[in-house]
Amino acid sequence: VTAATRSDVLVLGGGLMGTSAAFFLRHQHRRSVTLLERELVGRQASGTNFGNVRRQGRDLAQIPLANRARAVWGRIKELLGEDLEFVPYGHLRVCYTEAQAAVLEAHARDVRPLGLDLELFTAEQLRQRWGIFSGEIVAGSLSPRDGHANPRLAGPAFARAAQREGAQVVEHAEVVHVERDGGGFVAHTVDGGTHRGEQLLVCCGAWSNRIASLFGETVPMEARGPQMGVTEPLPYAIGPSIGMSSPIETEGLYFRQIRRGNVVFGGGLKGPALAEEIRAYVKPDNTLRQFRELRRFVPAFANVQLIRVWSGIEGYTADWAPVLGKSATTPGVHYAFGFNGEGFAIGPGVGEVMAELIATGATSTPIDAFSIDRFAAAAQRAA
Amino acid sequence: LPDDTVVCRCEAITAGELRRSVGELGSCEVNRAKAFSRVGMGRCQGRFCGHAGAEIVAAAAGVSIESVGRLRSQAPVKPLSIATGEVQA
Repeated sequence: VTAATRSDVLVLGGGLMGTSAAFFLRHQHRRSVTLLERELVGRQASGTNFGNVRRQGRDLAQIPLANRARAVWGRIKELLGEDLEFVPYGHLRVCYTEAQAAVLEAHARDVRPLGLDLELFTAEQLRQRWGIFSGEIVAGSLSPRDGHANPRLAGPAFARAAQREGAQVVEHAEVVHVERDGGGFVAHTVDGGTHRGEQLLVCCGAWSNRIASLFGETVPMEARGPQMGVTEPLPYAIGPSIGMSSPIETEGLYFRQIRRGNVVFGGGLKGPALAEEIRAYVKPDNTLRQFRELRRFVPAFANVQLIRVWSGIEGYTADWAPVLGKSATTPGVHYAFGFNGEGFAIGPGVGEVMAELIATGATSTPIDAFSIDRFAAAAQRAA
Repeated sequence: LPDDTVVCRCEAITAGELRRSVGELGSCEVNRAKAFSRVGMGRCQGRFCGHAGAEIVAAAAGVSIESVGRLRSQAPVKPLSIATGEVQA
């Protein structure tokens, strides 16, 4: 039996953005929603990322969105009925040089008027509070209300909650074509299904250009794979999510400890991701370089064993900003993709904002900087 | 098999937790159950528990053992010390 659905809103892509948007479209705006997912919800970038709930270190244009997302994270148990292992134990950035310490200080000054209060730490204060860092580390910046969560649980939990609220979530529904249909749109799936919606939300991660190009909009974006790893369980001791702030890409490691005791880490160079084949790889060289940087960061990591590595497929845009908002060519089409490896933290906020935009035509959180038409404007200037 | 029987010793996951990942969370295959419950995600990557886990998931979902798939394992094949140095070219 091939499926045929008709809804107010058709969501293409069942990652964290699509599932949370579907949830909020039902929960706050009572729109009928059908979500189509090629495989299973919450996989790819949404399920394989590090799990940071981080606001500091973002482009200033993202801070209002990140604040809104953090408010959703704070209500996650109440909204979804499960906590996604979100722990608000802080997000700490540290650095190796005085020059970078000045960058952290300037950032703390810049984000304060945007409603994000950071606490600056000297090397001595860091050692007193956490006692794990190497002597090379000179300063730090703590965002005390941020933290981390389990990315494997987030997308599926939003999808289940959206279904409980009345959304239709269709898995194993690969979209082959989308076209105009009266005043709305119709998506055709591989198995012959037809899904109609008055409005469309495209949130297909690294694959979003396939759909956007149908509306004459292509974003310069490439797929890359994060290089992730996890250690054996250790006695639980590290609360915050911790990252190295550095202009040198190979130094940019980050880690967090989960309640079970394992330390999850990532950072440094990205690995190859083949979007067409749906494959991403961890290069052993990258892992060994991460080992070197982990020992330099926290010397005690030399006594710990790695048990597993993994990667995923993330979309990176040419200007390192996401694509969020309405289509510039086609009324009724909306986009949310290209999150450059830092979409998880803002994901639930993106879902809430996109639902608001689709349901009301406007959003109270500024997202104009992320409009897809910036690429057309840049191409025109270059021509 | 009682719910409190530990299936995955590395991650201390019980048969009951596995059944919950099928019943409440909707796991329909072992890699989904792994993502939700951590079964087979520990030091041995399911070498000991993989088959038992698959049987429990299949029974709880009411499907055949063939249809729940098998655990995808990742590198490294066995735990690797973070003290391991880089390979010199």
